[in-house]
Amino acid sequence: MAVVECKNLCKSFGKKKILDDISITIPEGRIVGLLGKNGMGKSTLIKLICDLLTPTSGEILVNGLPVGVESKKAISYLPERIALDKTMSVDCVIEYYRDFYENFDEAKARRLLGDLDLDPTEKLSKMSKGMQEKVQLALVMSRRVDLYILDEPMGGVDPATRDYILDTILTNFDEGASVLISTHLISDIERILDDVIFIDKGKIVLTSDTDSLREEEGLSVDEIFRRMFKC
Amino acid sequence: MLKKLLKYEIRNTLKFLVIFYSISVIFALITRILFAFEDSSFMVYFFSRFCQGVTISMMCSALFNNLLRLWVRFRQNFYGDESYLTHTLPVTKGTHLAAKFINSVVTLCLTMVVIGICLCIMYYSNGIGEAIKSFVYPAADMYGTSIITLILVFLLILFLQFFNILQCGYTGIILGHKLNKSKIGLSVLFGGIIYMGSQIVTVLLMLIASLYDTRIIDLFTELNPVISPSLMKLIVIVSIISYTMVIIVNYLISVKLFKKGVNVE
Repeated sequence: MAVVECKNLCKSFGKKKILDDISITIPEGRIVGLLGKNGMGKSTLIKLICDLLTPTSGEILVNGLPVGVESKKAISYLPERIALDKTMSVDCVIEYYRDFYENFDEAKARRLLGDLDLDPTEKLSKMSKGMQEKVQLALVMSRRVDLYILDEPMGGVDPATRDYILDTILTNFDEGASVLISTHLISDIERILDDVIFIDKGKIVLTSDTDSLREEEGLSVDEIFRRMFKC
Repeated sequence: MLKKLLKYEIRNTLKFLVIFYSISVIFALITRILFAFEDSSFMVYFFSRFCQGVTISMMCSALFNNLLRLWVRFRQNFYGDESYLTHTLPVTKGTHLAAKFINSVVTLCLTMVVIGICLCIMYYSNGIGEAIKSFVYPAADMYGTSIITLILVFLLILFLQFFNILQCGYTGIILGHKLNKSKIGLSVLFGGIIYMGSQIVTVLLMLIASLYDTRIIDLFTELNPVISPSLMKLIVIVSIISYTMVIIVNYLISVKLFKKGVNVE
């Protein structure tokens, strides 16, 4: 069964068409890379799935249901920016997640945050941006859901932090769950992807499973991407 | 979920307002103490007036900061960075708005209570109490009501006025963020237009009421209308009903607009 199904999805802002007739399926238990250059519609597609944007036309189904309260229970979303209330302490944000998400594993969150040597009483506003991102990632990965959506999880971070992020994602997502990762830093995540979706100028230009694609083209996904999107 | 949302809403709003409340109460107490000794020296007199000024400005700040804080938080939660978390919580859009609405009622009432307490701390004495009674009693007697009821009605109208401004701001923010550019500027503009619209609707409702009591129309047509106690009572009742209706309709419009979906930047 598909975790997410987008049918003929379009999104425009005024006269500007951002997504044009997108139809994709994210199957169960797969790690899917949503790949494309900056500004090609990756984040827009993710925001539509997460109910942060309203589609101009088309349909989105999560576990067979339209986007709503049930779909939000099934999706754990890591945005590209810090969405937590920065006036809160680490303890407070844990309490917040515990209150609103039935599937939040507090022990796991505390373990992950403990690995970062954080003082739980420290406010997020006192932390560096990198540390705030790690806190947010730990909280997102501490939910037991059907789909983890990670929007540019490694954008603008140093290589050591990238390794930490990738490791946290790989070792903490719920068994049987799917992961949708949007990025343009393909070489870093290529090894973990089961499927890839290439998006360009608001249209899906390629969907394939990673191994078949490599075999067919005789190149790595990163190389295929570079060749396809050469400026 | 509404309870949980309210917990965080009220906690977040009060975290900020409690500073104004505390300063107001502390300075009201100091003013009261200094009032007792203000005849002793010029310095005591000077400081008592200074503290009185601080208390009054803090009470006003509490009220206006309450309004501004609620608007800013509304925008931050629904359209700013925090919206990425707000809209992905397993909560309906209607529940989100209901939490904002209830939080606004609670904090606005609380601010008015704190202002009342500060005024009592600073000025209340048997003499002042008697003076207020003698000032308000003729009016209460004329309208055939008690002093307490009259004061409560006055506070209720004041509260409805402030709440209407607040609700117009919320609807303005929702409308402003439906468009793709100058969202903050348009939110302010729409808020202002909706407020003016709400005032026009209130007057229209008053005119509709005049169909049942022609004395109301005299208020609009006569140069020096005679306002009898019974007419005044009617105007007050119609005003309260009109404002309540305008606020409820405004709220329902904002719920409908919000349920159509958001477009977060």
